[in-house]
Amino acid sequence: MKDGNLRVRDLWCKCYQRKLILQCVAMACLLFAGLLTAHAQRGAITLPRNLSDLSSTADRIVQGKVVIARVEPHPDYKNLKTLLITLHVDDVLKGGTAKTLTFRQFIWDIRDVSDAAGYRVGDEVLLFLNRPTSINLTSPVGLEQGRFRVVKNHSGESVALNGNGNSNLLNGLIESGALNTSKLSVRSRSTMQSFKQGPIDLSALKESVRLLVQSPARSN
Amino acid sequence: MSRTTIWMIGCLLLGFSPTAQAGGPMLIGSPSFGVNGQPFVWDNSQTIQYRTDSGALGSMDNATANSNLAQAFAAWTQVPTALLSVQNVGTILGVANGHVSSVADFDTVAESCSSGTQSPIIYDSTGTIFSQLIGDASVIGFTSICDLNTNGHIQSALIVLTGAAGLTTPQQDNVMTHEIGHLFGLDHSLPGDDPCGTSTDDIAALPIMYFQLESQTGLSEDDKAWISTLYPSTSYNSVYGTITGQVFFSDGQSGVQDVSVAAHPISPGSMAGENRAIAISSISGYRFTGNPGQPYTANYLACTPASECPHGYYGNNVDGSQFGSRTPALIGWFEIPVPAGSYAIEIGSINDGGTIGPNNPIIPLPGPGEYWNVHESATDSDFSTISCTTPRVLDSVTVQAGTPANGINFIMNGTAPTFDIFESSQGASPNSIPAHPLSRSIASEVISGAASKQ
Repeated sequence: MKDGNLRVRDLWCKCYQRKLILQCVAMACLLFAGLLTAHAQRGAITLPRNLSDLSSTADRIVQGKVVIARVEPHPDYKNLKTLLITLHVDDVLKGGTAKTLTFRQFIWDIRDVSDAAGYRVGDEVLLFLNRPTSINLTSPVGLEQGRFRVVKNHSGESVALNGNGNSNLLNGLIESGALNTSKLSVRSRSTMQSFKQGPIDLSALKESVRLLVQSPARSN
Repeated sequence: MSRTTIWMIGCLLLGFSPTAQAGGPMLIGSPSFGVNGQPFVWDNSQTIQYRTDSGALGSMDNATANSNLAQAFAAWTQVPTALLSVQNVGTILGVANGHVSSVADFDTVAESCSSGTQSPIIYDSTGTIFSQLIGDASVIGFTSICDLNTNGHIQSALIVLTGAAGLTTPQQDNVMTHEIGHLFGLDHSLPGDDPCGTSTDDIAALPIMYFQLESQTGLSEDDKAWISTLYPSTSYNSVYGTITGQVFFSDGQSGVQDVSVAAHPISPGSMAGENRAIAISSISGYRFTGNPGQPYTANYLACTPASECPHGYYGNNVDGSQFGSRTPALIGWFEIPVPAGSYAIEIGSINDGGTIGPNNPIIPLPGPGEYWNVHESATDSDFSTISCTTPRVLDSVTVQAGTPANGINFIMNGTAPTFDIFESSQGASPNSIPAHPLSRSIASEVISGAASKQ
């Protein structure tokens, strides 16, 4: 980590000298992201999950719009606060093909109870969902790591951003060959190869996910 | 391309968040709940009582887990400037042998926690409860504040620790200390970001309330400052003063929420110009509500159908979150408790995707970070122009113990008058909501454990 940090400074300075501000920003994001090892939810700590982890672990991967976001008790355990989410499914990348999808997520933070964990009707999301547990609770893989909000950027293109600012999303994937970018379209390949952190082009992300789902990385 | 445009694009396309988060309280009272604008805290005139699971915690037997937990509590309670006392009053009530071994047991203790009866620390030794509640092996611990009263006090809380994550003992101890920080009412925290890159000093400054496990070896100055601010002992005012101010958009009038504001002791002559191994931080607007529908995002998010929310829009500062003040002057306001001394102050972005501070999702930083200077303006120097090859010369704020240094205001450079990711340049939401009524004619599927087994 120490060496990594020193390289951060050196590279930043080179960037600055060239006045390539955006590249500097991207580099700072990337390199500091490399320091991260675990991420937190509200009131919790999780371990990092990259796009391959998300894709392979997820039972379902869907894009859709939130049509119901409601906090209510678990039907069988009245003291468990849960978030009932219904999506109008626009696209399925893995799992079932129904047009609507409802899942129930356990929430423990009182702020999540107050604001439905930030889910709002009308939100467009891309969710990597774990297999339901034995009591029918489902969480995004890696919690916020597997929950992407889909918004338009100022160019009008759809971009996706998970709860960790997409940090570590592609951690090691391209270098290891787990994501074979040669199988992506030219546009998506360029996007993924240059991606560091922050909102990512939705179509490139989805194309990569489909590739990972079709050709999952072999575990070591 | 203007600098403004560059930064806006940078923020949007790159999600520029060079890892700055800030310390402070987790929950703030609103006009209708607790004490308006004040943190929810335990009543520290009384000993905080907790109860422990009678089971093991992974490779730790119960006695070891309890001992390590007690040490983790002591790390907080022994801060000289904080007045806190805790007591383990026995095993968890309401479950067989004081051991939470199932979701049904968890449900039972959750009820008693919600009623303020007990504050249980649950050892999920084999991860069974985690696997049923969350079903995700990446989650290694969580804390729930169970009961708050209208006087602004935390009445009870629970912590759940898993023994199935393969953590080392020091890591498990750090998880304990971190979650206890939440139990005491602290949010996540981070030491700010160096515009020339994260240094080993920045890593050394990482608080235990940082959102990840790293190389922390105990409470940082940030942890100590904030626990002391929430629970001040009689010596607090002889050690700490405060730095307060507001962060403004470039108009110098509109407050910016969700900005990390960090203080580092000044260190003239050094390359950084400050001692980055010590950091204490805050979030602008941390006392304000996280409602969307604040002045800069007024009514951007309509409900569909409108009946989903009382006034047709999510968050209009009447409805929505039960937490946070609705006093507009607090939108950009920050407060940093610091030991007496001279400090450089910087602003930066919050990372962590909306899971820190009042907003979910977070509001991206609308312009470049910068150091505070005595001639703050929308055209002063900022992180986009800072030199990383010459020692920094930074203006500083001198703080006396027991005295606030007020009016340390920032005016951000190159921002729109108001801006966040949900607003287009025309003020309309790019994420506006088309009608999406549920149709009975389309296939519907409910995920369930039984139904989804394939």
